[in-house]
Amino acid sequence: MSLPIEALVLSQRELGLVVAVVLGFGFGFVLERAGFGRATKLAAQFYLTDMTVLKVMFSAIVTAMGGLLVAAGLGLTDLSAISLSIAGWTWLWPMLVGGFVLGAGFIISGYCPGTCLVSAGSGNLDGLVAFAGVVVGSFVYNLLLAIPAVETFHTSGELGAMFLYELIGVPAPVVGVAVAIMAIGAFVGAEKIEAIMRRRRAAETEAVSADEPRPRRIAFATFLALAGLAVVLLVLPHGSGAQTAPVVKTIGAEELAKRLVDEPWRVRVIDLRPAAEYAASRVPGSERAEASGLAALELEYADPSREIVVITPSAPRDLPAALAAYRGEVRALDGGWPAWKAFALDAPQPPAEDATATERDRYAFRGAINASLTGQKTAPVASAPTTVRVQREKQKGGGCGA
Amino acid sequence: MERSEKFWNPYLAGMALGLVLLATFLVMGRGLGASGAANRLSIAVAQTVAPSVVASSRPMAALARERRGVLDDWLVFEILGVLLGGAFGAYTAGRLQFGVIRGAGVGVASRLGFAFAGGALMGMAARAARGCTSGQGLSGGAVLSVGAWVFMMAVFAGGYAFAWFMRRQWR
Repeated sequence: MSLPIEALVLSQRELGLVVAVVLGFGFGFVLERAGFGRATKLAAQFYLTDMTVLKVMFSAIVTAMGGLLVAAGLGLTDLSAISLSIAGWTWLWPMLVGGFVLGAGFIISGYCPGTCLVSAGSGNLDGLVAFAGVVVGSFVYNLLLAIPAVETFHTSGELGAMFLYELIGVPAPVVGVAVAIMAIGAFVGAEKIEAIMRRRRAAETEAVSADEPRPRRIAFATFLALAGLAVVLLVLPHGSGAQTAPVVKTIGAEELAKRLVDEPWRVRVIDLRPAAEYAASRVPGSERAEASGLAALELEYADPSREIVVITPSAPRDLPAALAAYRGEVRALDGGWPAWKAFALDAPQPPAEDATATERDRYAFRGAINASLTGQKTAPVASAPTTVRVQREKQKGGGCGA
Repeated sequence: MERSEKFWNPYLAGMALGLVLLATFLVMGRGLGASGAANRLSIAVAQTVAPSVVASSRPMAALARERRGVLDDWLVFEILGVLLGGAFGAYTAGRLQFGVIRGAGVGVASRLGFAFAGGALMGMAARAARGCTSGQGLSGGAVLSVGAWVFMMAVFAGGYAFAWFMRRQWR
């Protein structure tokens, strides 16, 4: 089993959008029940009287992080790939400044962009107005991006795909433990600060504090600590540090050929080889780009339903940073251009006498690809006709061929 | 009329939120977000009101060119769910009610003014940071992205830095 379920963004996209509404519903429901639909409760975080924001956020992060590490540890998902598709790219300066300004906007409006929607959903006009502000602010920023200085700021401090465990150079589960411990420390600190503020307020009003510290909260913190520890114990034997180096996801030449034939509208082939080599021979339907000129393709905004396949001059080791901005899938051709050449442009060896039907089919497919690209007919194979048609390939590949 | 102030225990609520986030990661391979959808909404509105502005802005034109239309996106559907989930949560807790939430020290008009101004700042900031507290902070934080943690610390810093100036609004 492999997660995420890719079909939900590709072939079953409509179903994926229904799932989006359902997950969003859960998100909104939990936020509302946490009290995040109320500006006064959110703002109290910054006056130290009610630290719910910190508690909820860090509990959520630790829970999701732990679950993800366990899933990766059990081999259900690929940690680096899924992390990158969620949020992995770092532009240091815009994120630092953006965070600071967003914090300012948070205390001014009483919401963050997600919670103002929850507030609006529960009937509050201020939440709706704040969301309208977010919409207008996005628009203004998009306009400002036309100014070169803003554009420079927007892309400054680019660190690429950078995760804490890579930065520190330890296996991800170790960072996971550290974050969990840090969170528990923050919870204990938050409880202490709240207690101090309660006492101070009680002293000011000279009233008996009606809101006694609730030991239940500490109990929950302990509970969370234990859960975190259990997660860690489960992860460590599996973790084996395999997730440290970012892996380039690859696609085999045969699979690429199949996809180009069966569903060319789902693939976008970007060739990074020098212009002369590309002019001589290329993957049908591919486009050429300089590794340094990928930004000009504006992949950040490109339709993410097509998978990008990158053709490198030799076996891919590292992909250009700009590719991570693409919101869809990105893979490199396994073995780079030589692999494609060997698969598609060199005549395949006919199958042996006792070859299985699958082997015969594969040969026929390869032969057909080879024939359409080189004009050389390969030896016929005596087997049932294959189901693969290469007509479309032929039309697409106009002017190609070694 | 006093609204119900009974909320879930923050740690349990956080865990529930974490589980929703985890499900989003594992099923969709995405994080939860909000500001990305606001950006798309702004472009959709601009497209109908002033299409020439959209066409002349590179980031807006790129999204507007998408084959399915700028609003046909995962995040847009997700925030629709957030809105419904918020309404459902408030309704079942007996606090679904029209009104304006504000501190005692501020009138309705200025409260709405602050809400809009703060929202606009957040809209700009979220575009710069490539996400807001949900998409960058929560989702990025949980996958241990360096940028997300920098962002989150900066959010708290910004909030505390400006809290003093805003103290009368929230008193």
